[in-house]
Amino acid sequence: MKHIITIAKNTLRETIRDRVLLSALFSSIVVILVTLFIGSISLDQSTRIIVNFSITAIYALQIFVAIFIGSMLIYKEIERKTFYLILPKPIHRGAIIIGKCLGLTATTILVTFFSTVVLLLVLFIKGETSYIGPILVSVFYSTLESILLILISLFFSSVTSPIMASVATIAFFFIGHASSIMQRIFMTTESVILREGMRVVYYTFPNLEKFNIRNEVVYGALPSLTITLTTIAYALVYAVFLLFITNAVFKKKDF
Amino acid sequence: MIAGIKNWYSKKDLRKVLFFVIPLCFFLIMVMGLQKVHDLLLPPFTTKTQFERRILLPPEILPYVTFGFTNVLADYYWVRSIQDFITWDGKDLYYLGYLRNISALDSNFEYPYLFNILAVPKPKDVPMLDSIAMISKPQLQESSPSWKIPFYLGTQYYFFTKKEEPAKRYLYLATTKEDSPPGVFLVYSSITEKVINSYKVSRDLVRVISNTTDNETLKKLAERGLANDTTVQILKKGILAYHAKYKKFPKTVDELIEKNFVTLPQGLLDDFTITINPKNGSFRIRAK
Repeated sequence: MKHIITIAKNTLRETIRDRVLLSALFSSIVVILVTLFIGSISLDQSTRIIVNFSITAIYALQIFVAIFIGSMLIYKEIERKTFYLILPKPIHRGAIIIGKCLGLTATTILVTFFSTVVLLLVLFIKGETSYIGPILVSVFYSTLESILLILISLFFSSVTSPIMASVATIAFFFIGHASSIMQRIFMTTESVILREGMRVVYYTFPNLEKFNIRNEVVYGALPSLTITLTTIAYALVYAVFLLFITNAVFKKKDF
Repeated sequence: MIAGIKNWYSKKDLRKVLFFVIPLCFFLIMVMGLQKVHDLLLPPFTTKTQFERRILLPPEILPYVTFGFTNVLADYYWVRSIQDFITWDGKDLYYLGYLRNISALDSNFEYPYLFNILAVPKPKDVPMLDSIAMISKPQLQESSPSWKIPFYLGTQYYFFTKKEEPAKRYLYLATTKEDSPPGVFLVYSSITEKVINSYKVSRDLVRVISNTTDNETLKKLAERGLANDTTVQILKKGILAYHAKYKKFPKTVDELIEKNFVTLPQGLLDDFTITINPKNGSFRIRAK
C-alpha cells in the first residue's frame, strides 16, 4: 500500500508539472469563459449554452488527460530510464500500475475541480444556481468514465507505443459511445454472425454511454439512486477487470 | 536641458538608431500599402452577409454520429440557425433543416420550436407552418409535457387560416397538459364556445346604442348593461375554462379569482353576490 501511495504521489507530481496538461486546463477554462459570449448570441438560451458547452469542455479535458497523458505515462518512465530504478526494487508490478492509475486519477480530479469551480463561478455570477446539483453529478459520472479510459490507455501503453496506445484508446472511446448503434444492429440485423458478433462486442466492450448524463443536466434530471449505484458498480468491476489484464500483461513484459 | 539632450545624443550612436528606425518605418509603410492594395483588389468590404446554404447532416443519421455530444451539437445548430435567420429570405425551406436536426438531437429543447412557430413563417404562409408542425410532431404527442408548442401552433393556425379545425386541435392538446395556465383554457373556450359569438353581437348592439343615443337615461342603461354584460361574459369564460381544466365547475367565485380564471371589476363583490351552481356551472348575480 505504501508503495502504491508513493508511486501515485510521484505520478501526480510529475503530471501536474506537465505543460501540456496546464495548456489543456487553460484551454478548458478559456472555453468556459467564451461560452458567456456564445450564450449572449443564443436568443435567451445563454444558461443552456453555458452549461452544455462548459460541461463538454470539462469532459473533453478529462478525456484528454486520460488518453494522451495516460498513454505517455509508462513510455516516459522507460524513455527517462527511471523505470529501471523502480523495477529491481521489491515492488510488485501490479502496485506500479495501481499507483500510476491512482496518480493520474488524482490529476484528473484536480483539473476537473479547477475547471468546475470556474463554471460554477460563471453560473453564480449569472445568478443561475439551480443547475449546480446536476452539474456535479454529471462531472462525477464523467470522472468515472475517465478512470476507465486511464486504465484502458495504461493497458495499451504497456503493450505498445504511445501513439498506438492513444489511437487504440480513442477507438475504445468511440466504440464505448456507439452502444446505441450496436444495440440497433443486433436487434434488427438478420445475419446471425453479425448479430451475435455485435452482441458480444456490446456486452464486453465498456459501455461509456452509461456515464453520459450531460444531455440531461439542462433539464435538471438526475439519475435515480439505483441507476447511480449500478453505474458505480459497473465502473468498479470494469476497472478491476482492466487492472487485472494490465497487470498480467505488465508482469510478462521485459524491460 | 538642451545640454542634457545633447549629452543623450552623444551617448547613443545616432547613426545606429537611424539605421534601425528608417527601415522599420519603411517596412511598416510597405505593409500598410500592400494591405490597402489588397483591399482594393477585393470586392468592397460589407457587414451585410449573404444567405448561404450550409451542409447539414441528415437528421436520420445524427443520433448515431454524436458519440454522446448530442446537446452540444443541438446548441450549435441553434446558434447557427439564429445567425442564418438574419440573412434568410423567408422562403427557402432549407432553413427548417436546422429545426429538423435540433429536433432529432434533442427533442426536449423547446425554444427552437417556439421560435420557428412564431418567427419563421411569414403571415399566411400556411405550407411553412405545416412543415413546422410536421417537424414538431414529437412535441405534439400526448406524452409530451410542453403546453407552449401546441398552444403557439394553434394560435398561429387560427391567425393564419381563420379555420377553427387545426387551431382547435392544437389548443385542445395544450389544455390537456398538466402545467398549462388558465389563459390557455380561456383562449380554447373562446374559440370553441359558439354562444360567445352571439353574445358578442348583442354586446356590440348595446355599445352602438350607448355611443349613438342623446338620451341620458338610455345611455346610462346601456352603459350599465355593458358593464353587467362584461361581468357576465368574464364569468362565463372563466367558468368554462375552469371546467376545461378541472373537469368540474367551481363552487364559488372565489375559486375562480384565486386560480386567476377571472379578474372582476374592483368593488363589484361589495355590491353584488355571485352564486355558482357547481352542478352545471350556471350563475346568478344579485344586488346586496
